[in-house]
Amino acid sequence: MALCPNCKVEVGGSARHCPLCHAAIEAGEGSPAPHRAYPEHILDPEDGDTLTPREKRTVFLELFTACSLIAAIVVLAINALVDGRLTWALYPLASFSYLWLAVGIPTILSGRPWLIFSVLGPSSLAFLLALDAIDGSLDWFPSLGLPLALIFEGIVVGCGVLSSISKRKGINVIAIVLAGVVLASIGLETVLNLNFQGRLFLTWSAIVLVAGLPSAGFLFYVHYRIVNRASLRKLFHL
Amino acid sequence: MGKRETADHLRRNQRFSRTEFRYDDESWYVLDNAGAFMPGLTNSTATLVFRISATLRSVVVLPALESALAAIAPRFPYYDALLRRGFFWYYLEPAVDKRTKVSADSKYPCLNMRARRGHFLFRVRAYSSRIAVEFCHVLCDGAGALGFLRALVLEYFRQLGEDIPESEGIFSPSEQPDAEESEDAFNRHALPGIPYPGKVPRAFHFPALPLWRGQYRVITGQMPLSAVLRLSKRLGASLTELLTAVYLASLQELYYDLPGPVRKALPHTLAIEVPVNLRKLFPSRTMRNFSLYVLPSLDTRLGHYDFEEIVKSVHFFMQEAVSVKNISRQLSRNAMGGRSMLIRALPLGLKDMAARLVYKRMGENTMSGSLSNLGSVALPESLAALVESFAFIPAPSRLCRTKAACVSFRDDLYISFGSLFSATELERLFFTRLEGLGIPIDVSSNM
Repeated sequence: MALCPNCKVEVGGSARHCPLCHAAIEAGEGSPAPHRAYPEHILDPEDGDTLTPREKRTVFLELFTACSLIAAIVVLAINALVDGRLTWALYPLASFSYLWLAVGIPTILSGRPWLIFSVLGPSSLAFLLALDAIDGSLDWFPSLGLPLALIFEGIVVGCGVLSSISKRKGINVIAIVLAGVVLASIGLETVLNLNFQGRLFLTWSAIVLVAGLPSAGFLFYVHYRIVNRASLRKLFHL
Repeated sequence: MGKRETADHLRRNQRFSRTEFRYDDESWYVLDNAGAFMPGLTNSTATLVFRISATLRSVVVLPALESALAAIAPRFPYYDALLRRGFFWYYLEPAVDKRTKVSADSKYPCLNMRARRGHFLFRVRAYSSRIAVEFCHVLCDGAGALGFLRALVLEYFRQLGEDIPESEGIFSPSEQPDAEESEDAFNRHALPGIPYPGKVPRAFHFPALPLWRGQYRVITGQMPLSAVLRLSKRLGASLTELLTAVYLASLQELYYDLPGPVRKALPHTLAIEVPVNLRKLFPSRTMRNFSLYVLPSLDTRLGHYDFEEIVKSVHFFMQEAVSVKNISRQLSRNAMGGRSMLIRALPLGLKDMAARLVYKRMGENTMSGSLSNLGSVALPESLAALVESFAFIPAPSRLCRTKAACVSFRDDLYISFGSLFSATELERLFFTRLEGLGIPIDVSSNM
C-alpha cells in the first residue's frame, strides 16, 4: 500500500490522493519511518467549514443587495399604490442606490483604496445631482452641493496621498487629518457665506484655523523632531 | 440520612438520570449534568476537547481504520450524535445521514472543534502509527473516551485480520448498548438536603504571554512507571498524589521567582484541580461524564513549603477529600442546581451567559492548574503486544496557564502538559524535579 507523505499512514492501493490531507500519493513512494511526534501541517477537520475572506464578502454582498432591493421595491410599491405615480419614492431610491455603492464598492474592491475612491468620488457628485434634479430643476447643486462635495473629496484625497507617502506613519497622520479638518471648515464657511451672505468672511472657521493649525504643527514637530531623535522619557524627565 | 431514606432518593433520581428519550420514530439524548452547561463555554480555542491516543507498533492502515470506525460508531449511539439547540437546553440528535470519518492529524491537537455548529463532538485522527480520539467534554470524560478508543483499536486490528479474542471491558460492535451507558450518573447519585461544599478562594495564575491564536503547545514526558511507583511508595503517597505534589512544588517555585510586589498583588493560593473518576466511588457503567474534582492547595501566606511537606499535605488532603460523603456534597450541589425550576426555565442564551460567569468564578478562577490521571490502560495481551504507547492530552484552557494529564501503559507513564501560553517554565520545573528525584524522563513536544 502507498504511504501518504504528510500523514504517514497507509492509504488504499488505488488512491491517488490521501483521503485525510488530500496530498498527492506518488506511485511506489515509501517514506522512511517518521521522526516527528506531530505532523508539521496545521490541518483541522472543520477548516473546510469556514469561509475564506472572499467568500465572506460575496455572501455579505448578496445579502446586502437582496435587502437593498427589497427595501427599494417596497418603497416604490407604496408610492405607486398610494399616489398612482412615482414622486417621493425617487428620493429613497436615490439614497438606496448610493448606499449600495458606498457599501458594495468597498466590499468588491477590498484592498484597493484608490480604485474605491475613483468610483465613489464621482458617485457622490452624481448622488447629490440626482437629489437636486428629481424635482425637475437644479437649485442648490451648482452653487452649494458641487463645490462642497469637491472640497471634501479633495481634502480626503489630499489626506490620503500625504498619509500614504509618509514613510513612518504615526502622530503625523493625526496631524494631516487635523489640517484636513481645518481646511474643510474654511471651505465650508467660505461656500456658505458666499451663497447666503454674498461676501467672503471667516468667523468660526478662523477659530478652528487658529486652534487646529498650531496643534497640527505641534504634532508634526513631535513626530519628525522628537520621537525620531530623542527619547521622550529623557526629554520630559522630571 | 438513613439507609432507607437514601435508597428512596436514589429510586426517585431515576427520573432525572435517564438521558435517552424516544417518541415514535424520533429519539434524542439530553446532556448529562456536567455536559449540559459546557457547549456555551466553548469556542475555537477553549474547545473543552481532550485527546487520548494509541501509538501502534505499525503504521496505520487507513482503509482498515475507516472500516473499524464505521463498525464501532453505531455501538456508541450516545456519541454518534450531533449537538442541537433547544429553547431551554442543548440536546444530542442521533446522526442519521452523517457519518463521522477519520481525519488528518494537526500540529496543534484539540483545537477547532466547533461544538455549537452541529458537528460531531468527537473525531478520530490518524498520523503515522498513531490513532487519536479527540472528545469534547460535553460528551464524556476520559474514562468514556478511553473505552471508545480501546474498542476502536481492537476493531481496527480485527479488520486487519488479527485474531484477538473478546475481552471483558472492551466493547464489541456486535453488542447492544446498555441503557446504563448513557445515563446521567450525577443525577442518579445526587442526594437532596445534604450540605454543599464551601466557597473556594481565587487561585494564583502565573503571568505569561499567550501563544499565537491557533497554537497549542503540548509537552509530553515519558518515564518508567515502576520507578515512579517506587518513589511514591517511598514518600508514602499514591502516584496521583506524588505528581500533584511535584506540580504544586513547581508552581510554588514559579510563585517565589516573581518579584515581591508582583507576587503580593496576586492571589496567594496555589491550587491544582485533580479530577476524580466517580465510577470508582459510585456504582455506574455510564460512558458519559462522571467525574468531579478535588482541589489540593497551598496557602503561601503560611510560608514556603518543603517538598516532603507538600507530599504529606496532598496525601492527607486527598485521603479526606476523595470519599463518597465528601464528593456527594459537590455532586448533589451540581445536580440539584440543574434540577431547579428557575434554572431550567431560563432560556438557553441566558443559561450560556450564566454558565460562562459561573465557570470562570467557580471553576477556572479557583485552580492554578490541573492534573488528570487516567490510570493504567488495560488491554488483553494479544492486543497489548500490537500497541506501543498511549498518550492523554488535556483540553486547552485560557485561564489555567498549563494543564497536565497522564496515562500509563505497561511500564511507561506518559505525562502531557498542554498550554496556550508561551512560557514553558512550569513544565521545565516539573520534569527537572522528577529527574532530580531519580526518574529518567524522555521529553517531546509539538513546537
